[in-house]
Amino acid sequence: MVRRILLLLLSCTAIYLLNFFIPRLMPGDPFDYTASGSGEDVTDVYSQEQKELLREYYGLDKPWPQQLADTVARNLHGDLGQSIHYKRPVLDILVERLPWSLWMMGCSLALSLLLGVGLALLCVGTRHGHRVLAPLLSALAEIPPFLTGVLLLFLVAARVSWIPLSGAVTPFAQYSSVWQQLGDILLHSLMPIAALTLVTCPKFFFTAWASFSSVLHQPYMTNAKAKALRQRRVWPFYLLANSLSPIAARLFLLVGACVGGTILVENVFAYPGLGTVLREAVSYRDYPMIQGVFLLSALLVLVSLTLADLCSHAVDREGTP
Amino acid sequence: MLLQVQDLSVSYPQFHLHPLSFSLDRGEILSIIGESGSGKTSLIQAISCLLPPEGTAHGQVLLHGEDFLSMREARRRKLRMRVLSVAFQNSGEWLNPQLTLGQHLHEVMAPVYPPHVCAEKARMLTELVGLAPTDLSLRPHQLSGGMVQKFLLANAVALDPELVLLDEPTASLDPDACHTVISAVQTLRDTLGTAFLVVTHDMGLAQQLSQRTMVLYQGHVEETGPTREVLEQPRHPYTRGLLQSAVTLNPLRDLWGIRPNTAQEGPGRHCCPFYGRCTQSIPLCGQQAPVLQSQPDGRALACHRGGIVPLLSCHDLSHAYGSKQVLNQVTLTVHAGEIVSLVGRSGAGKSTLAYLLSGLLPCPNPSAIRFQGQEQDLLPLHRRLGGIQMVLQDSQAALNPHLTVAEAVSEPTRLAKVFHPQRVSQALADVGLYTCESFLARQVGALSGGQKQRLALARALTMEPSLLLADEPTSMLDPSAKANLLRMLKGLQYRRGFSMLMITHDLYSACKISDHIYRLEEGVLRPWDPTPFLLQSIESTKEEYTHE
Repeated sequence: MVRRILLLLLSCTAIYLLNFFIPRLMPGDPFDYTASGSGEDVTDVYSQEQKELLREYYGLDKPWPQQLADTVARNLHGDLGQSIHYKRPVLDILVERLPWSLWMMGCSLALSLLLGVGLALLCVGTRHGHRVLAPLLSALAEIPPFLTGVLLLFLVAARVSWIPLSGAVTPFAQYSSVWQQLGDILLHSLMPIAALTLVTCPKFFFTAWASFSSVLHQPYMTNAKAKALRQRRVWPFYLLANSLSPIAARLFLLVGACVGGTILVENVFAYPGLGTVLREAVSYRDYPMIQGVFLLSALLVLVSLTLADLCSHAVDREGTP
Repeated sequence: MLLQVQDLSVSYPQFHLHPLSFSLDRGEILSIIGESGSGKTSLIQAISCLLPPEGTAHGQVLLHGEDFLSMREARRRKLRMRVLSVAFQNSGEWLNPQLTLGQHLHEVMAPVYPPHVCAEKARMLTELVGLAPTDLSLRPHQLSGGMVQKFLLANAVALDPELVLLDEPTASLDPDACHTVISAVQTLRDTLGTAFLVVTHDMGLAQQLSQRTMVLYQGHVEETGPTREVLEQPRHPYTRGLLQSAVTLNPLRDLWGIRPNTAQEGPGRHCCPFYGRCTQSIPLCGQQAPVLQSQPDGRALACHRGGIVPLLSCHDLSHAYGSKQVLNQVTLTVHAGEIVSLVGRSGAGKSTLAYLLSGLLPCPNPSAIRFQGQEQDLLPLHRRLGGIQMVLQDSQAALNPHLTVAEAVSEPTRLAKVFHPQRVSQALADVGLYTCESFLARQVGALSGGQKQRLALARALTMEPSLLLADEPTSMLDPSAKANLLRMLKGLQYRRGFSMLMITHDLYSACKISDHIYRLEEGVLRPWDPTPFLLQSIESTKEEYTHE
């Protein structure tokens, strides 16, 4: 357990350092790109003097060890710094955007889990189910999420008038009730969640299928048949109960993959989550913002990986009397 | 009839269980004996219709006249546990790791009994198989092998089925637990009339439980019959081998299993499965498998030779030197693949009997002695392969000291015109002598006593005898040489499969290596049971120690 925590701290530190250095290794700095980088038709270029001033203001004129020390000291106080592009505290922006991303990730993970496990059950329960499902889902699994998103955008959202193409809510809408507002939010998140689910669900499907297949070959399944147990007893208490652990471990492992997928899908659907913030922050070289988003997603991934680890550890412990 | 199995066969890609039939009525216990890999477990899986997908069963399994194999699974489910249940071979893997033992029992009984009966019944079941009621709260990975075994039995009899298939029910139990399980099975049979099909490799279990026994080897039924008769007088060489390998039945003898396969596998030919390990096989055995045939007394046997062959037998053989009656109506049979010892005091007539049986002494009544079931002129048998060879007490006298080793060893084969250098060197290597040129050129007279005895043995072995007559082969040797020679003799017999008639006055040696011992006393031959003698000698050894 101690080793696991040490490892966790070590990887945190490594990620933190990478977070700090990688944005600074990119060509250019925040003030070269402020307005022109966005492609807006405004020629708002800082003069050399202004740049010097701004660099001094954000502390970017100091040598990098000094910058690192300052950043660490600030972050330890819970201050993630000031976004150069948005001109607001990074933490505020994260708090504002995180719920949208979490909503999307949570929904699609839950949906994929249900769908993947359900399809795997269908596969082992029917004689020929796997002949259709396995090739279909392995094809789906190989399509990158942004491509799935784009395909959905063109093939579904663009043709069906009541499905919005982008955003999280209808702009400037006045809602008469909470339900109407919720409905609007749901409708807007439909396509991004669908895109992410289509990519994630095959991963659950294959894990669950493999797990079910190995459980089905266990002697206790034969014994269940010999004991004349009904299907409604065997499926939940024999099949599902014994194949859950790998599926749960897979769930936590997939949180990481899902973070990446969310960032791509959000950009396709212009969904106001962390993904869109990250894209803008990268294109404006907004160092504090980039660092903030990366730190948050890295923490999310690390925590879920640790949970996955604990999950399989629990399985091992159960296996050895 | 409760269970009728008719021409049931199982095919796996690598294994076939050949068609077999039997029936079982209420309250009967049938045991099926065989080594691992003989198809016992496949048989149970086929009867209970639980074969893994790669195995297929053919034939019929009639439960109360209804074919269990061809009915729909829904119908079969109604019969499982109530009419037919299975207690699997001991392994925790048969139990769902997520459920406690109590839950395992409850899920079976809940659809049948009301809740309070379930709890009472679960308690009774644990008591029956010798588990504590508190064990019901344990999960499978917390159990010992013995507990799993007992629980699988409890689980199988939970709904009082009419027939229980037991797969190795005592394999991992200590003697006490074994006893509990056996008495549980007997209780169920006596109170409920439950029938059991017990699959086991434990002869002792079969002996204690079952009325009838079926011997299975590599997917073939070799022998069936009443348990007592099969175990006391096995007719198939395989059954005899199994019995001789059972520690429980031979607590004091030196243990030797059945010899390993010596035949090369024929390409796809369906020969007798025991062909390569059998000591009495004939060419026919390598060409086709024998069919199980009923015998007049109700037993059945699958052997081309009609069971274990009597190799050498004499019937009512008498002999007198002048007026002195040495042998009085002696009847003796040496079967193929057996070591028989003839013990008795010096001068009791042992050697006379040996000389008569080998034909070296003219027999007054030649029809009394039969070799391989036929009356034969015995002397020519010494000059052909597969006949009789003798090893005498005094090899000093038996070997010409002026011959070289090579000459002495090759003499019999040269006389019989079957000489082959390979045969000679093989025989020398078999008895543990050197095969180098310098040893072969040495004079026999220069060898030590032990070496000479081995040389005499090698001489006999070159003729590949089917019967070796050994007259006091160890009496001239020191203890260590004696032990070595005895072990070697037994080992050779084990590998080559010949029969041996050993004449000795050394009871201990006889007990160590013989399958049967006869005692000759005042011209009368009687079977001799070594057990009291051995027990007494163990006792006296113990006493000596306690006195000191």
